[in-house]
Amino acid sequence: MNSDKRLIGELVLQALEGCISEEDFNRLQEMIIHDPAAQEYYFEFLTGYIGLIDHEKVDFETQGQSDYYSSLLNEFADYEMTAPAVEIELPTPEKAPVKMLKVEKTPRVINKFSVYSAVISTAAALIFLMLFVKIAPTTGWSVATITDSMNAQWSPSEHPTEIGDRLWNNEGTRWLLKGTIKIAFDYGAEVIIEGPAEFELDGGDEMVLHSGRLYATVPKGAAGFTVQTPYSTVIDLGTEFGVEVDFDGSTDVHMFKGKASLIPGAIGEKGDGIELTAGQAKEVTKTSQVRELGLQQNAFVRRMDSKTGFLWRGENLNLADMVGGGNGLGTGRVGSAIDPLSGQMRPTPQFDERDGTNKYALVRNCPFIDGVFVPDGEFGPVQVSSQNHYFEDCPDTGNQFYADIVNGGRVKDRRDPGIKSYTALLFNDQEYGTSRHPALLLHSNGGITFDLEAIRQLLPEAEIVSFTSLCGLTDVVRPRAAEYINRLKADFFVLVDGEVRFEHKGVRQADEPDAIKIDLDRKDRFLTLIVSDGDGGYGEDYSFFAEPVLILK
Amino acid sequence: MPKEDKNSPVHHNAESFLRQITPVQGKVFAYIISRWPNRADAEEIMQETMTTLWSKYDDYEQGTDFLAWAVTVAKYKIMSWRKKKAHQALQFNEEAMKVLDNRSNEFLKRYDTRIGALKECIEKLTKSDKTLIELKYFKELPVKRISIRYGITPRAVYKTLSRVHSLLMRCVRRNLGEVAVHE
Repeated sequence: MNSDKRLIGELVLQALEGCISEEDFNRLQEMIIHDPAAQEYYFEFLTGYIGLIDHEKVDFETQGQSDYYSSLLNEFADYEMTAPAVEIELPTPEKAPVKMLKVEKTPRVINKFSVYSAVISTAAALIFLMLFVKIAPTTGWSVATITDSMNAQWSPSEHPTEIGDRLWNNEGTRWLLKGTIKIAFDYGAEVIIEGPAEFELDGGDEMVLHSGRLYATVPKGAAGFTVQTPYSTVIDLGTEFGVEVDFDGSTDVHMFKGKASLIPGAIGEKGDGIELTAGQAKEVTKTSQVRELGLQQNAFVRRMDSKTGFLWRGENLNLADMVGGGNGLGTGRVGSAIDPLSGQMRPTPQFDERDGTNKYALVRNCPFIDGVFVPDGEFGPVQVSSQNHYFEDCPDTGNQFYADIVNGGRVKDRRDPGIKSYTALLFNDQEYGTSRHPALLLHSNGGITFDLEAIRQLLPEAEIVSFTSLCGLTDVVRPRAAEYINRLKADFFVLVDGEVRFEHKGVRQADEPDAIKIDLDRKDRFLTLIVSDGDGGYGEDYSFFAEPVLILK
Repeated sequence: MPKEDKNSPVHHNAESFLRQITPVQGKVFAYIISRWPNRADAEEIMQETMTTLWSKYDDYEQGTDFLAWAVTVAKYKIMSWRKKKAHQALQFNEEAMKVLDNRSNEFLKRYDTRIGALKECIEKLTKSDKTLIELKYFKELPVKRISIRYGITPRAVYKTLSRVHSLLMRCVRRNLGEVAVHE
């Protein structure tokens, strides 16, 4: 009987949901007519069903269930092996990039039975029910938490919403006038919304974006997360995507990872889904027409951390910006610097002849920079990290230096006070050291070490795959230096955990810049950049790393 | 809006009706859904039944079996629904309806104790089973949505739900000391 019971249960559930076939209904009917045990189980099953849909009578845990999805998935997988029918088509990667996908919009199910219970709990409400209305108001529950918020300003009509606040699915439309917030749904999806935006939560894994921009990160266990817009619906199939809704309702969808189904059409309409895969972007117009778009890599805030002011749109991380006190995304100040002797950060760089101390100085004001130093190998290996990594073959230098380590390239040289010009960092007529083309001025002799592990904390899910930069001596030197321009030389080194990964000794001003690319993996901790004088003197060694970035995947 | 008069006849009538309907409404719905096993339709029939029960409440003879009266009203509503949907929806034939009528009293008699035992049995489910039940009945995700979420067919979801229901029912019977002759 056990297997029959399972079958009865299956058939009854399908009937209750209104999706049983005539053949299966007749099968159920025959069992009920002829089998007393089936009759009894039928009634038992319905009792349980009613008890469950009237969920005020039973308690459910509403959070923290995602850990158990995996065991459910295993069971589902077992059933998949024997399931005779496939009622929906799920996308398969082998097929063409755009294909039709049958994903029907399902009307919301309202538990009217519990509504009856609520409504008839008072006499006044009962009279209201009986005499005036035949309605079924929705009941709401909390479905998500605001987990981060940066400069958020809500519409004056909104209740103040702060980090840690729970959001309910029956609260109606919310207006985020400006700023950025992150919402974590209990079922696992995480959404970053940029103001101005108008949105509402709808159900436990569904939201409506009336206008504005959001980026959704949906783990596999939460696939099915849905974003509705005025003229389209995006059903996630385990992925990351960005949605932008214009004020006229037209919608751009950009797929960054995985795949999703895009259903053109207004809310509530049924339609065929178009599969979107990573790298694709489409626009749905207000007439439900679908157009191809180019993927905008940096259009959406994908990660945020209000503690560090971090808003990541997919950019690579700029190390020069970190020298300027920033987080690698342009928040640092161009022109600010670090003293190689003390590790102190200062708003303007100092240019002056100074002697090194043969000590590694920690940079305490920037978590991403481990320390700085003046390299000189005369007395042996040079310390290049706080964890005692050493540069074994550091050249013997004069242990002197002239400039601070600077985020930028337009620096005034005090030795030419009469000349109102600045020393700009130029390569092939391109100026570096600006906010648009960042550069790290590392006049010899100088060294700086970045803490990759600290940088990874900014983006735990992203992987730092390489370091890239141009390096060389600037094309421009002061007029006085023209006399000995051909004698200027500098040595460039890039180390990872004390091991030399790049070196170019004797770089001259006339040389083409080197393009550095160093692959990195998760176990690499410290990235060190060094410039030493290659000619026995640091004079005029305006050497720099142009656009020094960590490439993320 | 006029203030509610607690001494009005309407108010007294409503209070009386509430006292009568509250303990039996689950059974009335159970009766309806057992004969018309489609949840959305059954809810419509329930609503029609409630409206009629209220509008005819003056005709109800106090002291008689209220459940029997409510079930009779529900029975007529179902009959009317059967006619209305004769060519539009799947419905049980007369033979099946007779069988269900014969077992109905027994079913309704056990209803309250079984519902009472259900809560305890839900607590005994494994966490993964409980999660599925929560998705389906508390979050009210349609089966299709659950299937999309897991990337599997709706059929597999129905099978799993059916298994969990079966576990719950077995637990309910065990707790109530009922003999499961057909297992």
